[in-house]
Amino acid sequence: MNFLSRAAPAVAGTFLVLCTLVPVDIVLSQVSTRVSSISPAEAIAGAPLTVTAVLARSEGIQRAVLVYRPFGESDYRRAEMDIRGTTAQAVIPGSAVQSPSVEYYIVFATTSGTLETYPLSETADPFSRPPERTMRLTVAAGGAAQVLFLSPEADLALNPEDVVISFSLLRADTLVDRRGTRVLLDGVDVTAKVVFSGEIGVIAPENTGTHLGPGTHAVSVRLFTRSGKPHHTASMTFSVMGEGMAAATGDVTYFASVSLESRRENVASQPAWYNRGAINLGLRYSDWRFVANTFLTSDEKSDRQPQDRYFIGVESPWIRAGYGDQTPTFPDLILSGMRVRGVHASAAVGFFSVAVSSGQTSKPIEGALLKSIADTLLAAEQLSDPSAAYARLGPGVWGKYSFGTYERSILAVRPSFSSGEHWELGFTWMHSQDETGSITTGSRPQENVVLGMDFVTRLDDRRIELAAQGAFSAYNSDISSGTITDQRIGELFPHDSSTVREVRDILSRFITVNENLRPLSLRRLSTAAGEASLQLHYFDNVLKFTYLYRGSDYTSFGQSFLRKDVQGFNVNDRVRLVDNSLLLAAGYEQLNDNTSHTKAATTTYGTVNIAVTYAPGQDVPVTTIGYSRYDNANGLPTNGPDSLSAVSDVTNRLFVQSSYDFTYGAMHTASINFSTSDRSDATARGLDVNALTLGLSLATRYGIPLTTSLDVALNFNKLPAQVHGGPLQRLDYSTIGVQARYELIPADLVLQGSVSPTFGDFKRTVFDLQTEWTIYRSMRLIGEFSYFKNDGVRDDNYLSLRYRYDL
Amino acid sequence: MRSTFRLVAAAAALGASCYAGTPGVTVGLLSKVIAEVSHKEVDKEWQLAKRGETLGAGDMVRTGEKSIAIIKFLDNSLVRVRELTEVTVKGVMNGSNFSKSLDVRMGVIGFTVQKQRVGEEFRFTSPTSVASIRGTGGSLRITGTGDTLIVLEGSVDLQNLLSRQSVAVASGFTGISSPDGSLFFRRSTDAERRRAEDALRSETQKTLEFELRDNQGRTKRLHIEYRD
Repeated sequence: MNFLSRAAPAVAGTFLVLCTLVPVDIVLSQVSTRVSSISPAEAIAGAPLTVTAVLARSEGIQRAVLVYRPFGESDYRRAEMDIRGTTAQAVIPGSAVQSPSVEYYIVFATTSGTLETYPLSETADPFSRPPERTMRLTVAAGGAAQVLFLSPEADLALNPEDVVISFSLLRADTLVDRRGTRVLLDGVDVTAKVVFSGEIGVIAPENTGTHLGPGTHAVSVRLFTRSGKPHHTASMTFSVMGEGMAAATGDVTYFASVSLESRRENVASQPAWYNRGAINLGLRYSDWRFVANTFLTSDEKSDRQPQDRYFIGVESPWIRAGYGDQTPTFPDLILSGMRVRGVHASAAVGFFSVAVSSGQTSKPIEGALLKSIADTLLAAEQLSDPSAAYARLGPGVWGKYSFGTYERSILAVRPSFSSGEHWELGFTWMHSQDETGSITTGSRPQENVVLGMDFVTRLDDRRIELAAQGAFSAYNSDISSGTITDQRIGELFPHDSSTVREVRDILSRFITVNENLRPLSLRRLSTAAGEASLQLHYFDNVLKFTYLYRGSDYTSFGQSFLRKDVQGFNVNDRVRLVDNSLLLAAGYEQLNDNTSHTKAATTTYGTVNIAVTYAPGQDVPVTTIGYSRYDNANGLPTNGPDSLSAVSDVTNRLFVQSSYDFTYGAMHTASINFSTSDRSDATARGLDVNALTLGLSLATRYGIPLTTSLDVALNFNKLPAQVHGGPLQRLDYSTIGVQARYELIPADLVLQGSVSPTFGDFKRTVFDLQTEWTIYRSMRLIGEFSYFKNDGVRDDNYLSLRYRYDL
Repeated sequence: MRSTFRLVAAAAALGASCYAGTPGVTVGLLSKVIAEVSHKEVDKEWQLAKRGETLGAGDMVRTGEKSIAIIKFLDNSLVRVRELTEVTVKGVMNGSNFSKSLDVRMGVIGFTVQKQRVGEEFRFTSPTSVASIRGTGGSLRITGTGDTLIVLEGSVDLQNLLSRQSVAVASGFTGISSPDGSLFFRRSTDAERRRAEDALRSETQKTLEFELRDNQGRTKRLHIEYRD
């Protein structure tokens, strides 16, 4: 239990082992106190990817950060996750979603000030030292529409007897199980009436007894992965002529949905209720669209950052405007992945467009007492969390306080010029600052200005893409004293005070100028950042070269997760062979730190990645084998005077994934996942880590509306010793997951249950029950109950009831 | 010369049949059927075609007078088979790549072909010519005296099977390939462009005639032509 105690002290006594029961996840069962499942398990290359984590319990989570890196890169990127009730979401930009996989983990910051990762690990600072084991999300090559509608023509008006709906799955990627495709006509499942022939599906409604009345009708084709997970939905509309036709077209169309949830979490015999509700409205008329949504939760508290969400806006092809919570997308060196509550607008006229976001990124929160600490434990607490404030509460008792949080405002503006297809040039200005008067117990309010430029050009039918962005920041780490006075300038710069005054007068129009402002010098460009890439796509081969530079003092409040103090290059190549059935991917990256020459030595981070994917088509297993090597060294001797600053470690990673569809009585998908990670640290710290994971899965679809899955995950880990020079610690555990889903009344009443015991160094059994009742086509009621039978501590349970109505 | 032409034509037909891929593999469907359209599956007899019928590699489609069939291929490429035309659809899957072709013995087709991926191809073949298309629109008329290719959009590589000559016919141009081996292209005439645009329409022209009589007993005939 030492591992658990160190990794998550606040919850060590109530440690939960939750299993991801959904089959064919890359790592089938992960240990976490927070996450019960993550979706999706697979993605399409080049498309923005929304990662959703379903939280077993959201109590105590201050914020969540998705940390990810594309295949071939050593640098992890981060995105703040938007927490709404029991889900946390973040979007990985399409440029980072590259085959064969994206690696990721999640960091939760708790209200008690600790950091916890998913998968759970022992790393104290997961932002700088990733967990020994991470998640891997399969990325299939894609880019094209997954479903091609062959008929009818979209938005065409037809006679009822002329309607033939047909679609092609030619472009659906290898993740898709064609046999699992479902077709909905006006929301009704008509899959049983669809005639499938090869890659084509056809249904003639009139021939199957389905009467189509006059007006607009919608067809949806839902694709599922081999593991039975929803993968992609394509929809189109057409009109049937009749008396109501004229009124149906050109009318206002609208959408509305209401969802409510009441949830009881009983953790360590401390029950708590949470109530949440959401309303989404959408209205469309001609080219105009109006949207309004709100999410209200009982988690909203004065001492937490906003948990409620709302937005109201209007958009047309040339203008968008709205107010509320949004995650604006600007060049990712400047503003990306951050929630802003305020005004968001953009407009495009001809080749010119402009985007603006202005609002609040954090609300003011006064400092608070976190906990009381006995005199004897104070030193240990201060050592583990030196960032907190400590003050005596009384004789023998100390209090640990959090600093207050200033209200932080942000303004970002990006005018840009674009030819549409071939090139785009943009300029971004961002200003952000803490409002010094917003709280009384804060420390060191800050201010930041960033000016940037970005450019992209695409040539030869997009086969050549050249992209570049650069940014220069100014950062004031403490504006509490305001702009520097003439007197202070005279004291600090007695020889050139007049020049300094002139510079202050100019710069103070943009940012508070005092001795805490960076940069102090322009000689080394320490507050600059930039990157440039060239991508060539010829002969089924995609070659990309990237050069990046990020100064050691580069700061953007809109992108606080950027890795600083690094420069170097990355080259990646992806080639398709044997009629696109064989994908080879290889990459090399070399980055160096010490860009300002302020460190004892320069560390070189070398990364090699190789992966092979073989996907010959249906009825043959899809297999990926990958190898990565991370080699970090700064040349300092590993023993002797400078050994404490030495960096010399190598990590080798190998992974194999394979899945196979077959029919034996029923339709099955079998999967195997194997991964190893071996880190060898040659320095005196000796932080060696060895992890091995083996996952087996069998998902089955029967003739009756029953699906089952059986998962087995074996995890073997060797972790660094607690004390220097001690033996490696073992952390071995295995999980078996059994799940069944049965449609008692097909498409109307679904029952689902699962059991997943965990053995070894962790012992826990999780029981899940879920029922989903579709009362009407647009109304659903979902009940969930989870029970955690713990070993050595009290059991936990969650009960949730959700209601959803779509209008 | 005539026997040489037959030999080449036979060789072309043989080559084309080799290209047909696995017989029966679904390559598209009849998304629209107007008037008299027949469909012949491999090794079966001709039957009246119905809207929504899928087409396998090697299937044939035939149109009667004032009839039209619209064929949609798996990649959403579209071919309009105009009246009195007979075609054979072919296709082959190489991994995820889909190459297809249409043999036209006689008649007129209009085509809107989706941009082809690397490794994919769309070909029209006749006894005289092969047209390779990578994403374009136009029409192709096959007659006993030669083939007339009118390109409205994009570009088509047109090859004469006898002389093995090839030309790239660009948008706004007409390529003419003859059984004697000649091959040339020139700017399309207005009439040709209109004809190609007509070939891309799904409608057939119909006529309505009314006899109108005024209050003085005089009669007039009203003649209305429309497309359905």
